[in-house]
Amino acid sequence: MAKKIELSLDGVTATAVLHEQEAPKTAQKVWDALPIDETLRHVRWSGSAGYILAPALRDPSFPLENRVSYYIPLTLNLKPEHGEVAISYGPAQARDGTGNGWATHFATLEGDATAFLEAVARAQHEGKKQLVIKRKES
Amino acid sequence: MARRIQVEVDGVSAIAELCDDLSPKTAEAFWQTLPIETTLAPAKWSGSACYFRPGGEHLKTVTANEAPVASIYPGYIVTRPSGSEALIAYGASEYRWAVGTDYTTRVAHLVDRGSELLKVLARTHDEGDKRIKITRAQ
Repeated sequence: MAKKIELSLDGVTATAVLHEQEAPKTAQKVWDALPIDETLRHVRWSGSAGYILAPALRDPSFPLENRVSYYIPLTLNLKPEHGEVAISYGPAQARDGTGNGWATHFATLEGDATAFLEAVARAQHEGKKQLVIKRKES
Repeated sequence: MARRIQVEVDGVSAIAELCDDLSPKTAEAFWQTLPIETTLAPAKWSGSACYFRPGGEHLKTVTANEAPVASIYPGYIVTRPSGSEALIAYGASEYRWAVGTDYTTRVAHLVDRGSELLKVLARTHDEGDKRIKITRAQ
């Protein structure tokens, strides 16, 4: 049975499925790092997404898996060189000041995550929020 | 002597000079649009910058960029053709959309007390929207 994680932001909770087949090393690294409790901010270069910087996930030598440049809404994407997890709620891409980049798509929100994505989007205009990610026990 | 404007955000004000030489039509339209008092929000594609909607009718009449630039240097105010939006950079910034980089017109640049204002602009990344007031300097 697929491992799931629970994300809580601004009083809203959502569940995501880890992609253990497509991104096995990253999924395991994230799972081992939980719980994660970090500040979520809105991205400045990447469009419609919020991000956290998780020191436990930072490893510049860690390989990319299930590689993406564009972030599809509902997806969780890791840039291991920064330990950056981006959660997209609309058009978004792994970018920085130098141009386009890559990330590992390691999990996807399931069910109706509308309220959660709205909370992520609000970070642009309301400022930083605290994001907690923990294992979802079945 | 270049015309001067006062830019105030969160109780901190600075003086900027209009780019009359580089962008005479846009600078004049911006001058005629003053005073501007509106919401200032953090950019989500263009890096370390904030954006606002200047409003009014004057900028709508300037439909092409003047001396176009893509990079937005800290302390510069730029606008899009027809005045759809204006940006102020507080760090590394380049005008971008979801589809890539685009051009803008320089309207003004901070010349006095700019460093304190840039610190306030940078805080939008953590604190979200603020109000901006731009007037003709006395």
